[in-house]
Amino acid sequence: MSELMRTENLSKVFKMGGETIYAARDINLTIEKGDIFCIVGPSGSGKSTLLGLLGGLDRPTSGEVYFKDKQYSLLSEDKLADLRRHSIGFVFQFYNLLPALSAFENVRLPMDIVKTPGSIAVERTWNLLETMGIKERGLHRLSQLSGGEQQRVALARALANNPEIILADEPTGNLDSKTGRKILQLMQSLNEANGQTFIIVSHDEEVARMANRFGYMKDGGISRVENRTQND
Amino acid sequence: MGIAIAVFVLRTSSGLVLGIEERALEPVRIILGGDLYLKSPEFVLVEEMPGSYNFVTGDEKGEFFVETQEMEKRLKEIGITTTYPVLSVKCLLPQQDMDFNIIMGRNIENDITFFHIDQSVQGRYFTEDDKGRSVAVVDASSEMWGNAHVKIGDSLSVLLPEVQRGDNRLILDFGSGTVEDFEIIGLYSGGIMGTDAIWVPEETLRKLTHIDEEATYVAVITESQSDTTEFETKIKQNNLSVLTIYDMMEALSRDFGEFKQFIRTIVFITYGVSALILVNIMLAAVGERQHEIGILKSIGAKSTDITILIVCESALLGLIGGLLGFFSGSFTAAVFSGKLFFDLETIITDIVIVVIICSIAGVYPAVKASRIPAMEVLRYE
Repeated sequence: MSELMRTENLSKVFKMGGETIYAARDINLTIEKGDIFCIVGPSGSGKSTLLGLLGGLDRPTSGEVYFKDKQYSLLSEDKLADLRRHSIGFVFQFYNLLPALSAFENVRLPMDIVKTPGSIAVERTWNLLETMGIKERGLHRLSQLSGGEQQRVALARALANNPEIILADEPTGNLDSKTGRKILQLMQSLNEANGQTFIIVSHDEEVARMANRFGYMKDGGISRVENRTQND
Repeated sequence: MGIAIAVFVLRTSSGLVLGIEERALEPVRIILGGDLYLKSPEFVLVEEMPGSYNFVTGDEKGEFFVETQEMEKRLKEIGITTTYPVLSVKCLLPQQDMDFNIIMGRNIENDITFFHIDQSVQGRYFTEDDKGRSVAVVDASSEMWGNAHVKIGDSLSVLLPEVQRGDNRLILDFGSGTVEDFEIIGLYSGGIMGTDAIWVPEETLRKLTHIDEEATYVAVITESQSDTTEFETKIKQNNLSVLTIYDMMEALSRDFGEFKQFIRTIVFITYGVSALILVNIMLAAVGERQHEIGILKSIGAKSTDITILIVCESALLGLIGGLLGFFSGSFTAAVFSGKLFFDLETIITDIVIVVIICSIAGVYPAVKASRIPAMEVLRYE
């Protein structure tokens, strides 16, 4: 497997009052293509901050993130946006879909942003909704969809422009265990079928079982990284 | 909403001004004859083309009553042939106590058209045989008649005033007046004198009112605008001052110009206030939609995309408000001015201005929106 993403001494510091808080502290990680990398850790340990830094939504206080050969600190905001358009997809705990749009329109939105031709975008959107098992719910408003269905829409949206990596922040955190399991199975099948790389932040043991690598996070730092073998 | 109000004010005021201007341009509104109480210098009417008239004042020395024949003579000397002098006297319909103007007309080629825009609908105008006879041509549609249906052959009783000459004016005394019956020989529809006038032969009116020579104005028909200009110059050179339709329109435009300027100032203030309101509305909207903006950034929207999105929304609000204001303002103006001014050029101009103002008003909120840190707004949701 080849290296897809790497961090070097990545740190993010917040000043709150007179106090300095390390949301991320000297993180060194390497994500291989095809990984399902799970970051586990208690609340407030900096997992979501790390995901924001990896996705280029936030700038680190120090250290560096590399996506393939691209060094984030050398990229402008627009170049980072380009990276999110084509190479990085996001899935959030609370879905973060646009409520004014239908499921179909939400999934299509990233394709519209990159100006995918209409007929191709429509076909791909329906295919993604079908893959997620919610094709028949495509034209429904989000308020008419269950939490699980909304998370499938969010996953479909993350896959819209066929990114190389998907960053998922507690993707099952807002779902019941059965629905959460289905979402994870979808991710796993995408990983197996397309070699899609996932970095998932979660408390969920199911996620941990699905991942092939783990990073344990505490007080902003990754305390250890483990590989999971077939026998584990 | 602010933009809609601004365009509403603009459209209403413009519509009203246009309505007033258009009415002023209608010859029927410009006629100055007809009221001898307030007689100002007499007027010579120089007709330039259908629907457009030039007025020539009697004497620039301030002599109010220029003798008709003397005026005609002087005009003839400089090569201008008058077509008809017009004298109007305020009279009463005794039964209805309603006043109106009785105007004399002169025969021309046996069948006078006092003003070509008066459309004869029935009967005839005067002929040579009508000289001195009490016959009249009236507007059948005039409100003077109330519910009565006026027809050819009807007799019209008119209270003619006793006319006395005062200092630079005529004094009309209805108390000493006499009732004269006129036979209606012709009907017309609308026209330059309005509907509150009846026409009688010139000689008849002179005889009945004992006003021998005073004319309200003398009409001169010219074949072209260049003739009119030439006549105007000649008339001026002969100690007769000229008040042309252009002078009058210039005076009107000056008055309307001040009114327009006032309205424009109000409209621009309204635009400015609306733009400020819009900035606040868009800032509030951006504040409420931080999460949405964060989502868009997370899926790859650039700062320029966010800026364009917000500016377009602002322009769209302007477009909707502008259209609402345009149509409601135009219709309100139409209600008061009696005419709907509606042309594509005005719509486009108004809407383009409003959209530009709204787009500019949207720039600051848009730039603010584009700088929203995505991670922060997504984290706190």
